[in-house]
Amino acid sequence: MCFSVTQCRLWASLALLIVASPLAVGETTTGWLDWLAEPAPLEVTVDDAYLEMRTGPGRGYPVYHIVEKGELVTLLKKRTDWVKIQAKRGQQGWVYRKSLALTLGPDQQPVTLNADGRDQYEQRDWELGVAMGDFGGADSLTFYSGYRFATNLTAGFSVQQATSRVADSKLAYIRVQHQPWPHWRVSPFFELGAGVIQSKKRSALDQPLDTTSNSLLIATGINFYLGRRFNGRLEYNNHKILTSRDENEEVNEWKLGFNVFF
Amino acid sequence: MEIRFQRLFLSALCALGCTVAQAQDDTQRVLDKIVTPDMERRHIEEDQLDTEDFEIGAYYGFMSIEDFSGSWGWGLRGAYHINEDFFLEVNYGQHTAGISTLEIGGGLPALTDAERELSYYDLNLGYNLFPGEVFISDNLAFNSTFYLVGGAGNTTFADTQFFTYTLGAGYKIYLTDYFDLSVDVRDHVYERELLGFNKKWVNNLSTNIGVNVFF
Repeated sequence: MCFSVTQCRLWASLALLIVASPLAVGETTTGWLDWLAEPAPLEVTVDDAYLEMRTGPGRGYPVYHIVEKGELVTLLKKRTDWVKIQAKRGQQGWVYRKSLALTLGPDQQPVTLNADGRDQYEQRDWELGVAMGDFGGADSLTFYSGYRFATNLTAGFSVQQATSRVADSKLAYIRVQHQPWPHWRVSPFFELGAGVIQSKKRSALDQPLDTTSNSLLIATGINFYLGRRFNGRLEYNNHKILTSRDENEEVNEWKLGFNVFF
Repeated sequence: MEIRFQRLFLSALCALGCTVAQAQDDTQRVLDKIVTPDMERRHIEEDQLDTEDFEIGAYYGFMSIEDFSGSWGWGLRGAYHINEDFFLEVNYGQHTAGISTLEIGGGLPALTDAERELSYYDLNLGYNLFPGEVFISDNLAFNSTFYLVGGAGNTTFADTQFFTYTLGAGYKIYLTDYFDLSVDVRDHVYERELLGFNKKWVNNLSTNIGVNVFF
């Protein structure tokens, strides 16, 4: 299949590379195919008097096995606040994540736990949220997501739908939020956003009228820490809709919702 | 001649030095093997664990659409488990409405075929009320949970959008840790004003069976 010597060499070296690369990865543990390899098992030694293994990830599931002090267990995976472990003889079950603080890693140090509760609130990065409210007389529903890239600043986007008897609106914004006192339990915020609004006005007589306009957002409100990974959110939004008519439209919105942060 | 001697002497010295260095190196390697146990002394952090908090699924079921008969339809579902009790849930589903009560009496068709398409989405907060186990036989038990959901969303019907409240309850059986079957009943409530019908709050009840996978 090769038409010249150079091409032949090229094919040969390519074939060699393809054949050789898995071998090379097999020999040395560091390689670009590393993520395909099974990671080393996370083995810890129980340092508490005993560890209770439940059949499921929750306090409502029954305890069915006990691991004694000094036994070696393998950590498999985590769901919410529960960790699935495998005991010496192969039994698998779920333990509460905080009990990992009473196990020792191969370096004889307790497993380092992530922050939780108020500490987690202090260290929050990502948030997802929903809110319901009144958008100039229409019922509105908003979905948020945000990333806190600096202590005081969060960038994110929101999508929103507002429905009333006379109009349906869909809004999407890119927004930046500033929290002057992010460590306060009740923390005020100021927000600016830019996006688009798509409105469909309807009445019994007229044909529906579709318009798409750019829109600017000024928002202010408070975030309040509710506990665990929840944050309440009460806010006032001022939407400036840049219409193609002579006058811009302005819509006021009040809404209440909650965020989950992680 | 002198230079030749010098070279010989120096090369001999060099060779000797190298051998000594090599020998020292070998000794060190052997000692390393004896002293260092063949065990990795690494530290374990919670972050190294694979998390499985998201769930994705599909469902199929029947929805009774008030005044417009009922139909079978399907939907997609995504959920994020916040903790063992609460989860956030997003649903999207589609159904086709049947003949209305007005049309059954021999009236003209109230809606075109395209207008009979009903679709909805909702954002809900869910709560696992009764987690537990079900015993299929003496030796076979599956984890299960009874859950409640409530939230809001939007319904598109007759080419019109309706702000919709959702309330429901369901039962879920985990066949494995990450795969489960669910059965739930949900009520979709909205205020409707359509040609030929008075303005009223309508309840569209739906019953679905679904499969979900955690990842």
